[in-house]
Amino acid sequence: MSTEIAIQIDDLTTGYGEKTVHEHLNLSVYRGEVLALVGGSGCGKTTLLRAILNLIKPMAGSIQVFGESFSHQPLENELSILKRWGVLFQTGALFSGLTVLDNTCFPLRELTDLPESLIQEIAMLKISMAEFPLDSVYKYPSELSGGMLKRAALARAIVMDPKILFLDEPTAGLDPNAASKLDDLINRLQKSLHLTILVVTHDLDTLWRVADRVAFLGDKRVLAVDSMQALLRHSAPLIVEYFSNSRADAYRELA
Amino acid sequence: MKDQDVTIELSQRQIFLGGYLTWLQSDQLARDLAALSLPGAGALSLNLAGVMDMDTIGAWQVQQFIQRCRKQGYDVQLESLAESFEALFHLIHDHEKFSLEAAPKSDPWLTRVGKGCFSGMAQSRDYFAFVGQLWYELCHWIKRPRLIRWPAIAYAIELDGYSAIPIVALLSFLIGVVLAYQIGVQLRNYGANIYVVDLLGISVLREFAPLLTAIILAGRTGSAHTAQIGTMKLNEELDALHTFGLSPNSLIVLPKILALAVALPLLTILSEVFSIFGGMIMSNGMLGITFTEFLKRFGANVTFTTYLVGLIKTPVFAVLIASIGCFQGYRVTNSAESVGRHTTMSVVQGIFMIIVADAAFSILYTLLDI
Repeated sequence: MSTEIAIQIDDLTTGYGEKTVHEHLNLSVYRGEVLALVGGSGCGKTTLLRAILNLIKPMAGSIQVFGESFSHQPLENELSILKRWGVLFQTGALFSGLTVLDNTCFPLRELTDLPESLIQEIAMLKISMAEFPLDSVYKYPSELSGGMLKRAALARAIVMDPKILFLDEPTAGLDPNAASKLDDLINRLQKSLHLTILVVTHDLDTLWRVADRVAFLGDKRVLAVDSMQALLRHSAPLIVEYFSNSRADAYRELA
Repeated sequence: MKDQDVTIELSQRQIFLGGYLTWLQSDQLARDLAALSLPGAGALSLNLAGVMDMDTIGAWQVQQFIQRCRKQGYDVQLESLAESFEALFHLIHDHEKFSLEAAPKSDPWLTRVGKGCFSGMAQSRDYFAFVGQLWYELCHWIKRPRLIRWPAIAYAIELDGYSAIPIVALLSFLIGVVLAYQIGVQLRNYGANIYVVDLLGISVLREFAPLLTAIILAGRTGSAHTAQIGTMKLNEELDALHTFGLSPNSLIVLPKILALAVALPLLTILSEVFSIFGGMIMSNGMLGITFTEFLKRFGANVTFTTYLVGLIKTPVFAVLIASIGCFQGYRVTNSAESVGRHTTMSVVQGIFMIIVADAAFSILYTLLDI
């Protein structure tokens, strides 16, 4: 892990109308690390993710990705930032009218001038890397199970060789076995593709096995950023409450 | 980007490949690799010390190049690959053994025609089954009137009827103006100006107002029904209703159909008033028929039967529009594209059926001598 900063969030305030979700929030994500965002339901994890992805405009503060900010950028620069990240949405967000192969080819077809044969090869390679069954690439998203859907969406997220990968609850809705395999896959891809990963999750397994650092969101800001072991010893009431349940206790004994 | 190029050099049995090997340079890389004039078979080393940046696409192209060379009898060795790119090559090596199967072929055209016929027939059968089910549930309502969902009906009347008033009024007024103008231009040649009242009155009351209003509502309301029910189906909301033992038909569809059956006749009356009003203004301006003259002749020559004959058709149109809209909503399957396709079908079939029904009414009226 380097000290080079991939994402820098300063003094961020977001909200909808009168209501604010974050106030004066600060967070740095280092290059090559896996940072997990946790916090109780409704604390604004997904809103923060959407703010970083420029899907909602912040009310105040700045978000820089590799030293570049979205505000006051000409369109070409915006595009060059967009090409550096891939997103795995919570429910996959695969295009329902396209097959898995076409979904994966889609960013390459739209954003590059590569020849069609190369596009299909690269897409197949990424689908194989995401460990999606290769005989199902002509299926439509509605024909896939939850685990396959996540893998197909992951293949599409990594197809442009992003520097940063955003995962929104990657293991939600998967059985423990599939979730654990997805965790391993994310770990492997992170190492071989040198990804910086920002993962929003509730899954304690993912927190322990995948995340290098964990940022805890509460009271409209980041309460703590630390490793899991350190976070468990933290004294802030919100954090203590979040981790004091029977599921978390099982890990506490192991730690 | 001129400063981010691929550099390639061949000296004896060593290839020095460097620079930026990413998707931005993939064209150049492919050209450069193809243009390389390789020496005779034997050992060959590919030196990647000068690589500044590489992504999967670049690595894949290099990998494919190596395999091509191996097939031609070269013994290719990778050299001086930076550690950070090594993992990428390993990853590609692990996953390169896929074969791209051909996409499933679409049927020949004759098969498609056949399938289209059968699915069309199946669709009409399903529609009749749907209408039958609606009748069944309507009978339930009639048997036990406390089941009738008055608030849902009232809300649908507001949404599909009341809020359509401005657009129906405006379009009707304009159609009245246009009709009076076209009729007036012809009648003026014969000095038969006053007959504009008869022509306008009968055509608007019998045909134009009911058809125009129905077509506007097929586009405005039929499509909305399809999109709403289709999206509910995609969200599994309809399934949720079923698990409570509730029927979407009586909860969603019947109120919409009944509401439109009330709203469409009322809107048609509004449309008639505004069309005639538009025609009156045009007749006054172009043909010099005053409002009192117009209304006097209108009252004397356009019968109440004409008015009823037009109005009786509208509840039928309403039921067709709303039931087709909801029926197409039910047929939405699992994709956003399907919502779009069925919304289109709902409007097209709605308008088609309105015109078919109108023709049927014309035949019926002829037989009854009305």
